[in-house]
Amino acid sequence: MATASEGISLEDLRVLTERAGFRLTRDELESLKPMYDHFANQTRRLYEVLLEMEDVAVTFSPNLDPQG
Amino acid sequence: MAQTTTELCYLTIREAGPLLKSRQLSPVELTRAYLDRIGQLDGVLHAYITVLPDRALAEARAAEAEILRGLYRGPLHGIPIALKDLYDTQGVRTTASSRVMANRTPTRDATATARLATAGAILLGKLAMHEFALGGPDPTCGFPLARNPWNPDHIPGGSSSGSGTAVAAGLCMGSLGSCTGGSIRGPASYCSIVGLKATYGRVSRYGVVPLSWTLDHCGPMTWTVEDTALMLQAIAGYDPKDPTTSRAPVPDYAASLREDIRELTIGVPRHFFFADDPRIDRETLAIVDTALKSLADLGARVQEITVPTLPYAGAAQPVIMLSEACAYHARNLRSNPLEFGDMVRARFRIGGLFSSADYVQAQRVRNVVRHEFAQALQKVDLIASPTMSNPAPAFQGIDAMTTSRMPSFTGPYNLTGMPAISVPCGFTSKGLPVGLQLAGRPFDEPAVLRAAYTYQQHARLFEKRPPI
Repeated sequence: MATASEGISLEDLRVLTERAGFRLTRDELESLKPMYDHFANQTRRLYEVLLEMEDVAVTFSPNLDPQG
Repeated sequence: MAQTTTELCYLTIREAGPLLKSRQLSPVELTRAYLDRIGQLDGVLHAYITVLPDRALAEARAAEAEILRGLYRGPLHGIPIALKDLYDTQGVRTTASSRVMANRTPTRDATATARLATAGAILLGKLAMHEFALGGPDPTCGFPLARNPWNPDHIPGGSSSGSGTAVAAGLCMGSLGSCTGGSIRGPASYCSIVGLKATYGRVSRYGVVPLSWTLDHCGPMTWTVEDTALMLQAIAGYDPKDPTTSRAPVPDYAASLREDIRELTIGVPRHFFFADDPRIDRETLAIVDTALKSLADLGARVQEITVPTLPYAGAAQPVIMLSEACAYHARNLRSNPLEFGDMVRARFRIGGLFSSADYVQAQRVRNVVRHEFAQALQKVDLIASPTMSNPAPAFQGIDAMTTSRMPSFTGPYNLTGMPAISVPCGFTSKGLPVGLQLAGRPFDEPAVLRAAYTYQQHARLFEKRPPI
């Protein structure tokens, strides 16, 4: 969610929402923008955490037993 | 026995059980009392979406017949309960408080629903909630909004709003909530009741409408800690229909409640929960500090701890929650967006705007937070904090971002999957309830319940009911 510190432009927000499959009117985009900016600012903080290669997101264990 | 409707409806599960078992109290009489009280009060409080008088009375008569034949099933037999309206109930409409599911009638019970029925509980009805279990009361969702019985101008919390209202107001003896970021503990705190989010995998989520698969938890909401233990006993345990449930043995939760807490060490991450942050209510902190002193007076060792990455939990939780929610609702969001209320539609759409890297990074941060809590729990047995950073907000002025702007004190334990409880610990100068949150090691619900029980018996706030 890369945005400028002053917030996302309505045009950029329109592109993002269309990519997500949502067709929003200009009023809807304007209404959504403050919420988007709030979460975008918050989400940027996730990249402040110093993570190592070992800090994985998920683990996967193949289960050979179909009854599991 | 001659008791008023109010007296009957203010019995706890623990108090009613022996009366039902010994036939001093009839399940039919008890159920009628609740139905009468719902009729009297729910027009104002809006705790219920669906009330089931005929079914409840039929179940009560069946329970009465069994008990008369000596077939007493246990502490929930004949106990009137209600369910958040996202627990599937065979043949009973289950809406998740959304127009999207307004006409949905499941053909089978959720596992938790079925287990409560097996234990002999009587289903009074289905309870109000925030649409699709996403926090924030939305008047555009198409369903009435539950009110806080301590002050109907204020929200009861959410998303298990009706569960909090109904238990506090004596409109059911116990309920089930669900919790993705605090939806059990939040309304428990705001309504001065007890709410437990059990460990991830402890209670089956089969047949529970999902919000976020990796964060959703189930758990009981009751007037006392002991009642929470009794309800958890009925619903906990492995379920082959839910692959995330654990095969870990289910202990006797009520058995250890009265054990000493003197060997327990309680950690407090003050750097986060008591931070110098203008968004955190100082009166709430003072009330919880008094509760912590009480726990120390009761013999627990209370010490400060540090969980370095905890301040980032509030950034990770919404990314995971809203991304997973958007995935679940994507088809309807695109094809029938106006079926959703305004608040939920906007927030679910936000879930579609995070990048895949954001989601993965949030899961990585989540694992670091989980690891740091695991390290802390090698030194302490429990972690204490306020349940909520603020008392219940008023309805007036609430918007889609109200809850998101407040620091979440509950969400971290949805990230870690640890068991966490809210137990009432006081009231603000405006008469609004405040809760104490206690979290423990995964599957160590007994320690969480024991400390909460000991504190509740000391504070005795269960003696104070809402002014309704």
